[in-house]
Amino acid sequence: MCGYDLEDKALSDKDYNWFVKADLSKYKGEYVIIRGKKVVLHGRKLTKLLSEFRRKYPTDVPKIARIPEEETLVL
Amino acid sequence: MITFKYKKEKSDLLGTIYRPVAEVGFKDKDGNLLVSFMYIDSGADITLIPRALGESLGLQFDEKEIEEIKGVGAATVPIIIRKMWLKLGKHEFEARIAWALEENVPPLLGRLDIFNRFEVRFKEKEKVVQFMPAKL
Repeated sequence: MCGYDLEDKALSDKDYNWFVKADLSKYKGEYVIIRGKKVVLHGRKLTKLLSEFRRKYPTDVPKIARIPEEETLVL
Repeated sequence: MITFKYKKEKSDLLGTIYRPVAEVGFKDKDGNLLVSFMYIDSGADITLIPRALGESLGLQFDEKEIEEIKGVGAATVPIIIRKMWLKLGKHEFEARIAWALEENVPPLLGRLDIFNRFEVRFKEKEKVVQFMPAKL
């Protein structure tokens, strides 16, 4: 999967490592799609974002995150 | 061993908060791969995905399948239970997940069908979570 077959992949994946450090609060309440250590698409309609991603980057695996609102608590 | 990290976030109530984030592979109905960054929630009975993520994976449902789950509070969330292919690190397996029929839930990696496959160690001080394969 997109070069993820390393045993300790989370430490080896550049987009994951970028994501956990990035301040993406300006996208709160939205989905983001990450590629090449940056947000390439964002918005509230995930299906639309994925269609656009697959049109622009047909061979890439989309890496998505939903950025929480600041009032969100994970319980 | 798979090692995941914590992400620093802001909370209205708690100020700065660190949450553990997993990188989870899914396949849609056509077999296309999609990676979702999800909070690791050892208190969640089952993995939970919001409506749009399920729709993007091609999930469909019949009204008769709708169940309701409750979190800590009184509010209920309508969900559909589905068995899905997941990938954590190089480990591929099927797990039951709850597809929320609403959008206002965070994607959560819960315990059912997943934590039994690993010894999961939260190293809060180091801000990492380790998933070590368990003997099944």
